[in-house]
Amino acid sequence: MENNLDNDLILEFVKGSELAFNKLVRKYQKMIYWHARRMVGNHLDADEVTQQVIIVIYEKLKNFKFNSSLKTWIYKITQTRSLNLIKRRKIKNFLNLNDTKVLGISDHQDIVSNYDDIEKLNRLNIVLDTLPIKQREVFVFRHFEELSYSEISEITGKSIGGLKANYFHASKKIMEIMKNE
Amino acid sequence: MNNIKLFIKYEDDILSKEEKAKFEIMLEESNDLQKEYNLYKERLGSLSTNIDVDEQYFVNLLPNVRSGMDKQKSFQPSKKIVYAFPVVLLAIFLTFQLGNNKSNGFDYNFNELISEFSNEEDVMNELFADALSSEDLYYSIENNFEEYGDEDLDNLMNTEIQNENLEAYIYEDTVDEDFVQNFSDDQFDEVYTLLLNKKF
Repeated sequence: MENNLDNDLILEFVKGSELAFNKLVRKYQKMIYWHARRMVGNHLDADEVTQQVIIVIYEKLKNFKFNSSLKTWIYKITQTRSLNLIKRRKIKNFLNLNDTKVLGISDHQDIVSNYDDIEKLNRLNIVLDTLPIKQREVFVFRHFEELSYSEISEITGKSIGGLKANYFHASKKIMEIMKNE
Repeated sequence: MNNIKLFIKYEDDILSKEEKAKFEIMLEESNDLQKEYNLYKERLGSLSTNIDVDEQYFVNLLPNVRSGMDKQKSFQPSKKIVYAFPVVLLAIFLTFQLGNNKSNGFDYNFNELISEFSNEEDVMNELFADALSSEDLYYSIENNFEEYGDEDLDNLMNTEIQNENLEAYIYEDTVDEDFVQNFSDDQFDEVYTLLLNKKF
C-alpha cells in the first residue's frame, strides 16, 4: 500500500509535478535526518547529510527503476552519504583540520533544546561511537529503525548472517558499556 | 555474560522454537533471571527515548534545500565561463605561437643569398636588416656564422654594431654612415672582434 502511494508520487514527479516531490520529502525527511544523526552524531553534520540526500533524490528520482521500495532506496543514499561524511571527518581529525571534535558534543544550533534530551543524545552518541562502523550501522537500522535483516541486507549489501553477527556483537558491547556506567 | 547473549538472541528472535520455549520457562521459574532480563531491556530501551525537537527545522528544510538548488543553477553559467576561460586562453596562445612560426615571406635560403650578393653592400645591408626583424633568419645567421668569411663579416658589421660606445650611432637597423666612414683601423678591429664574439 505504502509502496503504491510512493510509486504514484514518483510517477507524478517524473511528469513534472514539484508538489509530488515536496510530498515525498515531507514524508521521509525525518527518517533521513534521524538516521543520519544516529550515524554521524551531531546536528550540523546530520543537517548537511539530509540536505545532500534531498538534492540527490531530486536529481536521481527520474531514473528510479522501482527495483526496490523508495524507502530502501532513500536509506541507501542516506547511509552512503553518512559514511562518506564520517570518513571525511576522520581524515580531517587525523590532519587536525577540525577546530573542535564535534563527536558527542551538541552545538548551540541543535534542533534539540531540552537539556535532558541533549544529555540523552550525547550519551547515545558516546555509546554508538564505541562501535565499529559495521556494527554501528546494523545496530542503528535494527534497534532504532526496526528494519528486518533482509531489509538491512538490501540497503547495505551485506549478508544476513554477517548482519546478525554484527548486531549481536554491537548489543553485547553496548550492554558492557552501560553496565560499567 | 551468557545470559546477556541469551537475552540478545531472544530479543532478536534468532533462537529456535525449542530454545525460545526453554528460555521462557526459565524466565518464569527464576526471579533473578527475570530481574536481569528486565535490567537488560531497560538499558537497551534507554537508548530509544523520545526526543523533543524544534519542528520548525523540518518545516524550513525543504525551502532551504530548494533555495540552495536555485542558487547552484544560477551559478552554473558562470562556472562554465570559468572552465572555458583557460581553454580560450590556450587557444589564443597556440594561435599566436603558430602565427609566429609562419614565414614572414622571407622563404629563401639565406646562405645562398649571402654567397650570391656578398659583394653588393646595399643588398647585404638590406638582407641583414631583414634578418634582424625575422627571428628565423636571425638564428639562421647564428647557426651559419662559422661559414661566413671575412668579407661577409665586414658586411655584417655595417648593421650589427652594438658596442655601447657606438650605440648612439645606430638607428634601428641602419648605421650612421658618416660615422662609420670616420672609423680608425683600431675601431674597425674592435668592432670586428665584437662581431666575432657576439651571440646573435
